[in-house]
Amino acid sequence: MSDSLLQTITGFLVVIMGMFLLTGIIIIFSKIMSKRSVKNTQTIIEEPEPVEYIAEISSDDNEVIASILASIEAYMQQNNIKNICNIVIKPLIRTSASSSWSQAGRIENVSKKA
Amino acid sequence: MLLEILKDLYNESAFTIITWQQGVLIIISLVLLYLGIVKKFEPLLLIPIAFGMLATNLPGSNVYHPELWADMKNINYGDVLRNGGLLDILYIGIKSGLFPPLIFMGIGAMTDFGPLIANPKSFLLGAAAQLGIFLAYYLATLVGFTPAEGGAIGIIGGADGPTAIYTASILAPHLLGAIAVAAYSYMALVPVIQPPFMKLLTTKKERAIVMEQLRPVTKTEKIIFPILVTIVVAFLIPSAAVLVASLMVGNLLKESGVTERLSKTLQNEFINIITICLGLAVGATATAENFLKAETLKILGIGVLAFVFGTIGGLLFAKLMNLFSKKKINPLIGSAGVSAVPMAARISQKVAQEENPGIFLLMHAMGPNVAGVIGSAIAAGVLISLFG
Repeated sequence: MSDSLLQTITGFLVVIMGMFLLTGIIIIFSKIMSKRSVKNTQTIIEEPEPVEYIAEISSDDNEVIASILASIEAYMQQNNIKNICNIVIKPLIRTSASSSWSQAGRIENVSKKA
Repeated sequence: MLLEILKDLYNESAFTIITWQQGVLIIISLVLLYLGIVKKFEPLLLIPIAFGMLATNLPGSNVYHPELWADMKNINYGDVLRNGGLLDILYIGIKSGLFPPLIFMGIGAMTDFGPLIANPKSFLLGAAAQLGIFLAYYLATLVGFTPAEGGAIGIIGGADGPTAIYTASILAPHLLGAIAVAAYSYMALVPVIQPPFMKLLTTKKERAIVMEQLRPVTKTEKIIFPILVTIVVAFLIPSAAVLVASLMVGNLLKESGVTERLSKTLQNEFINIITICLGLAVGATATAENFLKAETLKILGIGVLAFVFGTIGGLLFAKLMNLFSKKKINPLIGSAGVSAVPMAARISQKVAQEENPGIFLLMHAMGPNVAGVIGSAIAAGVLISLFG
């Protein structure tokens, strides 16, 4: 076996072994961290603090328009629609009026996901 | 009288002293400028490199003096500062190994290692994709390059510009210009080079595999990660410590959350200034005697093969992992192990989406992608310790 082939194999194996070691260390480290975070969560659950809940309700129409436009564009790109006239917009009928509390909760939930 | 003045002016102009080799290199630099500006091939580095190449080959410009760097083992830096041109002085930053680690600090400050921490197995894919470096090294030695030159050429397969420049400046400084041009050109060509091999080596079913969502990574994990990796790599391969430590200190400044000003500086002005200096100085080394040789064509040829081998290495290792793993992984993330960040990860996403439009592979591919940066730095360390 030539020297250069030997160096090729050795070099590559050293990189693989080094990265393998890093993988092992990070896996162990992640497990330790996840155990700690579970403990912390349990502690938090045991002693819940009362929190006054204030949901921010955005009344900026521009933000709503921007979100709708972004959704339409994403839909058009995903479905390869070139012309906006090919989109059918259906009216949404509300089934029941919701209270301002549930409305605030919904907005908070959506903003968290966003 | 007028004719004599014009004749004198002509004799003093550069037209009388230009050689055909300089002419060819000026044309090549203009082509590279075109590729950078019009085709947007890695413009941030290709444009400074091309302009450095142009400046160094303009007759009488005196911005770079190859003779000052001829005796690589015994460089007189005082002489460089006294008699050197602008690009000679900038080249000190490469020769002393200063610029590439500084660039790495900036890259570290811009990198999110979250996907890698969430799925540590990505490290293995990042390692497998370094196959390209070592096969290219072997090929280079087969076609007549010395082992040190082969190592410098092979590192092109790492798809990491600063690493390639750092390794080449230590192992084969006379090939630096050609290696840097090849590395950055091929990094820009990743969307052309990779997809055919990705499709060739995977089945439709494999390309459509949907992976589980990555777990959220805590801030503590993100802070400890760069410290841990630096310590482990420095102990394992000390010659890779400079690059990895630079990458990780940049990342730590970002993730710590208490050095926002430093992190922002690294991500913007700092990395931009170093990029300009690095690019110009690398381009300056592309003089006729260094660049216009048959070896340059060989370097360009081996460079593209290095990228191909790296892509194949990552893909095949991902398929191998699927044989032993309960949770199937989409083998396309393996090709992102070549560290062209984030281009290679985007290619994985794009090719997967052609098969399954609802698939979201980008974050999964970012794991091997950033692991590839660490992997190529380790590979560079191995090559430097073998041949440096």
